[in-house]
Amino acid sequence: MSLRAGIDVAELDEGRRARSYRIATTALAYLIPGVFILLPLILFLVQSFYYVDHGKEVHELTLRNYVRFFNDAAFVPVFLRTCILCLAVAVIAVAFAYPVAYLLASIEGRRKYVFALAFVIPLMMSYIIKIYAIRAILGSNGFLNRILLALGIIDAPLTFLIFNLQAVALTLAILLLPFAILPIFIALERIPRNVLDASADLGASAWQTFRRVIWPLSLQGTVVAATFTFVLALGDFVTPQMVGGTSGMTFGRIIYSQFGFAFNWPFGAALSVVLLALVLVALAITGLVTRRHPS
Amino acid sequence: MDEMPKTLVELRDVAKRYGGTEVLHGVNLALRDGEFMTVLGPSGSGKTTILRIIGGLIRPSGGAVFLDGVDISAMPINQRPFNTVFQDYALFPHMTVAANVGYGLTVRGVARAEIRKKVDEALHLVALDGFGTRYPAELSGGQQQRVALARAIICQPRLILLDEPLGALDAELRRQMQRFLKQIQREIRTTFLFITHDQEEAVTIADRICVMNRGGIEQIGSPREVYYRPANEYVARFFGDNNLIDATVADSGADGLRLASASGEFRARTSLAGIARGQAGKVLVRPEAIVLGDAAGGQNRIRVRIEDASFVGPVSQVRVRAVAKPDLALLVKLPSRAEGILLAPGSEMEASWSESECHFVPA
Repeated sequence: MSLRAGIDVAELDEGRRARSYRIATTALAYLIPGVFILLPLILFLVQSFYYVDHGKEVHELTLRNYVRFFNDAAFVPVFLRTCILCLAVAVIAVAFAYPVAYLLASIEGRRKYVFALAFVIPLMMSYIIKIYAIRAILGSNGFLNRILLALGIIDAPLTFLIFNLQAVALTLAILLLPFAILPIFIALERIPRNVLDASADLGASAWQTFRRVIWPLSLQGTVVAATFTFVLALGDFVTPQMVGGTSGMTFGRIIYSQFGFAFNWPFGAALSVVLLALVLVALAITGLVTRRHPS
Repeated sequence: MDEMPKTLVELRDVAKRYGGTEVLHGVNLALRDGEFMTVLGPSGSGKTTILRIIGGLIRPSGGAVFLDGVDISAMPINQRPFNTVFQDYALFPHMTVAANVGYGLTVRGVARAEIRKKVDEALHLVALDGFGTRYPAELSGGQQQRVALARAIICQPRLILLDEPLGALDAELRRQMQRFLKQIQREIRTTFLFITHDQEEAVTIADRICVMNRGGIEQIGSPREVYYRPANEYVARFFGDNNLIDATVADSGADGLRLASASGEFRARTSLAGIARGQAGKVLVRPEAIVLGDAAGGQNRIRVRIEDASFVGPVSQVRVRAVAKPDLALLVKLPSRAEGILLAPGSEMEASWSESECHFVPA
């Protein structure tokens, strides 16, 4: 009897330990993102309803930051311009990434992964160095201008290449290209070979196979690529700072200036919330587009 | 007598090399118009390569493919009047069943109303009426299989190629689909070339079987021919159990062969040409062709001792050994009876089989 009871206690102990272990791991799984992501976001949200009076933060809830954003003529146009800029970045990046990913995916054998890796390697390099490199190419005394001058195509250095919004768009598109290539490459990779064979077998030309099979089956990946680049471009303030000049003002730079120069953290937080809302909308649209087919 | 059916597709000395390895060595195959042919072989035998060459997915390294006597070796895949039912079906996951089935017509620019009508007909033919608006992922394996078939027949191809289409289905569904395919083939009167590694399937479904091994064709013939009159030892072993006894030809005449073996003389028939005296080879006897018992009368007789008898459902398997020559073991299959037949291990009796059930293949 005593032996039997002993076993029961041990089993009970075991069960209790397993349960508490499960609770602990579950708690940890929620705690880590909770503490490091959700909590800061909530603090931010709360702070966006405070305001600054004579350099001092007043902890009273108010909507004045949001009212200021919508009423001050300085902010909404920059916000809209930034949206368009980032859309342009997404379009440019995807337009370049799709053919690259397509070529990568059509390479036979394992070599394709080596090449794909080569396109991802720039992600491991310092962001600042890459921007300087692009500046060195596009600048008035840059690589591009010097080549054009040496070839006699131009007499004086071109100045529209850098320090404007187009330069920001181009630079962001180049920097974010790997983020666009990868999802498209993966989507193309996942199309089974025999589905393409079936299309040709049923009489489709190469173009028909692309339009009716490859493109729709890679559309989700392409939308994801566009969303990646759009969202990443939205949050960037370093690139516009470095290649945007005075005309290349973006929303990210304005937020940065609220924290870095104006020391109006509540207003900066409110602007960040607006940006976050836009990102969530972009993600929601992506979710809708990519959840269309039950495949 | 019927006129010989005309040849639809012919392979002449078709070879395929990948790098240094030749996966298909100079194969010759004539596919008759309207027949159901299975290409049977183990994996790596080159059967899928043959299908892909005919379909146009790959180009042969040597030889040529003919359609109605015209060389089509260089014809691109999307212009060949053949359609394929792929392994794993290869349905377009983003299209409805109707769009999948109508795909071949859509890319040919057929009018929408016409496509809708033909899609309905094709879905009716494969017993999937009303499934047009579903997506492939919502269908069972057997249903996807039928969609793939409907998609392949809708353009009324001259030849339908089927690449192990039943491999993913369970046994019962497989048998159903075999009957179904055969029935459809009769209904639409189209030539079918069906690839499989399952010999039972090949025998059940085919008008003719092409047995392949290591990139070459071992035999082409009706299921009965390849089963009872195999061209060589490989084919003889490939189809079920077989008893093979070493023998040499002692005499060959119009009425059959006399064969000499260590276990005595056998009389056999052969459909193979050029069998000469003194030729060495194997005598083949199917296990179910052997009769046990002293009363049985076949031209070929051996005194045997029963080793063991086992009940395996509809048939019972009996292992026997020649009394005079103990290294000759034979497998015998008898229909099972509820009462059983008394075959005590160790007892001796006559094993016999008729001349017509005995076949000789040269080594």
